[in-house]
Amino acid sequence: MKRKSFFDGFKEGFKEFSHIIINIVNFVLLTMVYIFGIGLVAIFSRISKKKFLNLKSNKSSYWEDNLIEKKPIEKYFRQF
Amino acid sequence: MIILGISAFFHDSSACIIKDGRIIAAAEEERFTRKKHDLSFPFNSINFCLKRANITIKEVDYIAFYEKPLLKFERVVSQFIETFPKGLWAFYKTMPSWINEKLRVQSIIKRKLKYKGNIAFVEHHLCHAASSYLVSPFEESAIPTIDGVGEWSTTTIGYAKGNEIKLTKDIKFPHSLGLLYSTLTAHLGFKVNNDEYKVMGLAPYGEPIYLEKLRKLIDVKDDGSYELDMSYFVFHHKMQMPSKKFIREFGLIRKGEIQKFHKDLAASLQKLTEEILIKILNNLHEQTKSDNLCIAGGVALNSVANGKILINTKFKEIYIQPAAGDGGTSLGAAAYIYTLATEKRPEVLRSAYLGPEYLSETIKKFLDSNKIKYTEFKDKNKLLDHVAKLIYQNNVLGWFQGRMEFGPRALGSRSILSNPCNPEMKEILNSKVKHREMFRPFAPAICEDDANEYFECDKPIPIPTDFMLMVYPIRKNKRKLIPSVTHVDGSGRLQTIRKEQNEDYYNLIKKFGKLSKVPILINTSFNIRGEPIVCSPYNAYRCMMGTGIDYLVMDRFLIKRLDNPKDMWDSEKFAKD
Repeated sequence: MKRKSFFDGFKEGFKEFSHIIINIVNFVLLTMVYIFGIGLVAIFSRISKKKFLNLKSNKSSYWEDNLIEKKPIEKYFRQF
Repeated sequence: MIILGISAFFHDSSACIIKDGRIIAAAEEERFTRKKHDLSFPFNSINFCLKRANITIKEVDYIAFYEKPLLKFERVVSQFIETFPKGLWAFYKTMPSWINEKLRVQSIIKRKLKYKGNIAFVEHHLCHAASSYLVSPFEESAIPTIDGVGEWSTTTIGYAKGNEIKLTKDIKFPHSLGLLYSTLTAHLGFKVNNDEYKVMGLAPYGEPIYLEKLRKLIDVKDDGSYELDMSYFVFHHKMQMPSKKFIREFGLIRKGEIQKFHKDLAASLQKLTEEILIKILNNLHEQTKSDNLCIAGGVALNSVANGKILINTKFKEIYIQPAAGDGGTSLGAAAYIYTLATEKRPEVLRSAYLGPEYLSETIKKFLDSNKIKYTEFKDKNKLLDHVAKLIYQNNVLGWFQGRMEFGPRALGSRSILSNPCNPEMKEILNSKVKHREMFRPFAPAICEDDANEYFECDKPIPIPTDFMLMVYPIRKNKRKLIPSVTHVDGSGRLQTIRKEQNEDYYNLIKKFGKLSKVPILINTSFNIRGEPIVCSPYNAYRCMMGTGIDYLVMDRFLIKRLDNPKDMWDSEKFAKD
């Protein structure tokens, strides 16, 4: 019994430890993607004055034309 | 033609199945997994839908998914690029779910369901539009869809005729009426995507004195289009909603008791929302000249605003389906692909009872196997007489009958019922079961043929009233008769019941009316605080035994709480709000 509970506890502890490692690895990898992927695009877009999100505009109407209408069903098999 | 609609991985995952034009079944995943607003893949809901339709996954012609994942991902990445380097933490928090789930939707569906057919991805706001118009009784209609955000759109307007829906204009992220409401919800100390209705309930206690201050947050044009001042918000790059500037303007996020300021702020927000909604609708009417309106999206759950639409616009009829928020997009996706594939619309959705039901034998087996003491009524009429009397004697009663509701409201299948004539009933319900904020009103349930006598309803009474989606003023001379369901401003979020929808529930209310001279019951959702509405007999019994509900009626079985002391427990010790 004692041996079993020792192994169960060990298993649980190891699981928790692996979660911590996963989180650290994730954070490091995603930070690199964020800095070198997102960051570089952001810097170039600022240099070229390209806007990815329309945060502010001065218009007489904020409605934008965006026609969504019937398409052949095959077009819906795309995820974009 | 069989279409399975799926909504997943955001909040309120759900599934819906349409077979040869009939909406066979629909349910939210949370009811099965018992996790509120569960966003996981709706495996249980799908299994239920397939079982109810008596088919296997191989027989499904198309699976329809409720959004286009790559378009949404484009928007998310655009957010991070535009706001770099402020969004690192949000990037770290959100990307794993994109990598593991959201970008792999197609393979997840195929693998988990062993499905080999075609999967269609329908734009999010088109799903909302379809979920309302295609199952409405209208041949043509104006359509606005308003919610937090879909792929890029947050608000769309369009027109539909016959089988075709055209959405013509939109407002794009980050400018969102839904997210404005959610930001104030967060600031008032409530949970985003969960407690927006509490703000709506709080509003009548305040005065809209902060309306002008709130106008700084949003520029609204006469045509109803709007733009947020993003210096007040951080939801586009952080895991929170209001910015420091917002906090400076409106104070810290509420942590303690609700003060007058919070009530006034809620009132101002509600008024602003109604103003914008009415402007959008008037502009839409100008463009479409339609008499009919099909509204969808999370904002369509704002029943206070809904109740003011027909008197403040030129629209003559309105339709909103019971799951108007994201939970209902599985229905919209399925209805849209069904219509596209067959050139026919599905049936009109007049009832929300699309979920699981449990046969008498199953319930009896459950009661017997758990040694639960109960009384069985062979005659339904006698059961209803007895139940009406119990409610009249101020007992709180769990009502578990027939198929579970689709959507966030309990509509007489999984409801807690009690006596609205007792002025103490609100306190009784709160102390025995609900343990919720005292400002929140309870809803009155009334038979459709009696509604105009007690409420100042639109005429004819719109179908959304059956789904508890319209708030109307209670007639002044009736308010004293039903103190427990009369809100502070004299309004009530009523549910009307038509006999053909739910005969037992209809008859019960009538029988209660004969005893009390008031044919109205309090109807509140059958759940433990912090948990989803009950689904199975086990959930219902557990809920009764963990709270102060006096009786539970499951099909023709009446169970008294005090007869079963062995199973009593205190749900409040474990409640998570």
